Amino acid sequence: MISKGGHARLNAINAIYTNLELSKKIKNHVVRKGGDAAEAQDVFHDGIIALDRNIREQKFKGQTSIEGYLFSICRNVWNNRWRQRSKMSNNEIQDYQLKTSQSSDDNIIQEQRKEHLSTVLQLIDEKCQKILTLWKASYSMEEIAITCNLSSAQLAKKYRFRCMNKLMKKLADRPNLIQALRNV
Amino acid sequence: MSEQFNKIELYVAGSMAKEERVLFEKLMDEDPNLRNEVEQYRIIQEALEQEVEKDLRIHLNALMHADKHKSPPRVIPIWRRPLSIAAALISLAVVTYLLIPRSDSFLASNHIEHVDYSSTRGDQFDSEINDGIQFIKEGKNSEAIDFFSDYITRNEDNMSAQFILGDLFIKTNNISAALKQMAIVIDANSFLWNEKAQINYLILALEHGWDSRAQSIMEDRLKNNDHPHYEIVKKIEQQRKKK
Repeated sequence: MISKGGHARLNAINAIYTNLELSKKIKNHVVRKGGDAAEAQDVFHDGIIALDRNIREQKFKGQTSIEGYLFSICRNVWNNRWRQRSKMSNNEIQDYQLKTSQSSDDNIIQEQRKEHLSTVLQLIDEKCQKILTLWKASYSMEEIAITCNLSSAQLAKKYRFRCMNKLMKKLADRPNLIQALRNV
Repeated sequence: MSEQFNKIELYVAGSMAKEERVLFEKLMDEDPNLRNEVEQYRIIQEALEQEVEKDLRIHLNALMHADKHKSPPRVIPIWRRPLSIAAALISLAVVTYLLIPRSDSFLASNHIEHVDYSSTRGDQFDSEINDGIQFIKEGKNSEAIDFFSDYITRNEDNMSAQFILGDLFIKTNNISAALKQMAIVIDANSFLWNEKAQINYLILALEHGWDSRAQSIMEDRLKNNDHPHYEIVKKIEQQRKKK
């Protein structure tokens, strides 16, 4: 359902979210492995976001059940977080300070990259942003046409290309922005 | 351009056949313009992915919020295809978080709670955001948006700044961004800004996409007929019933 995109994707995501047994299993795992309730909720959300992305990018081929796949993703998300946390509790103070500072630097760099990427979409008008975002979220051209008040799927497809070309041209005119993204 | 663009899309998506990919990479080695276009396309894809993930996170937070208020999420379905979800996975409702073009009808009624910059109190806002407020007073909304967008990346707990940015987005017709900002303020349960953010959220959601958060806020407000926003929320409820 997620791979179909659009509203089918949303329905499937909601179904996964409201699967109490699954969410409980994932959250209990995080709590058993040293996390608290808020972290468990975060991991659950991060897991669904990663699941959605992997399906849209066709990295998930249906070898296992969705529930099993999501559980694996969340387990890995938590393991990574736990590893980061364990690095921070090193006994050697100098190492701790260095790792704290490195971790803060990583966060700053990540935030800078996010900010630059947000600026990219601001180069085009809201309608184009919407069309491209819906396309990226795997909405069909029919759905995009309806949502964006376009007369047909064919027109939506034309708009998608037009908006993408417009954005590429605008981005090409911002070499500083491209360089900034290369640097982070 | 169109054929080349299609090839760039296939290449970046990893969908090219091996021989074609080798050929394309050879072309990229020889043509810096092509290399640049591929880089630009990759950047755009990453920016769009970030946006999709941001929207999904808001959607999940709305579901979580609905859970907390024991209110099932509701949606206005735009695409009416029959769904065939396995019985164990069928959910009761769907929340839509799509962006919808702006209309002025309810906003024109002046019920949106804007920020009052004319206050003579010197300590109304943190001094750190004075420069941003000055931009607003001079009518430089674009510069103000840049200022506050940058400021909140380093001071995300400053709900005055978060609300001001939302207000700026309302004024500049970026309604989807305004909704996101109001949601941030609501989630933070800001003492100063929460109620303003809630009424703004309701008004914007009425015009641009009702969701579980708006439903929850409306139901909460309607429980207290002494609340200053009660009458406005009653009107919103009536408008909802007409739709």
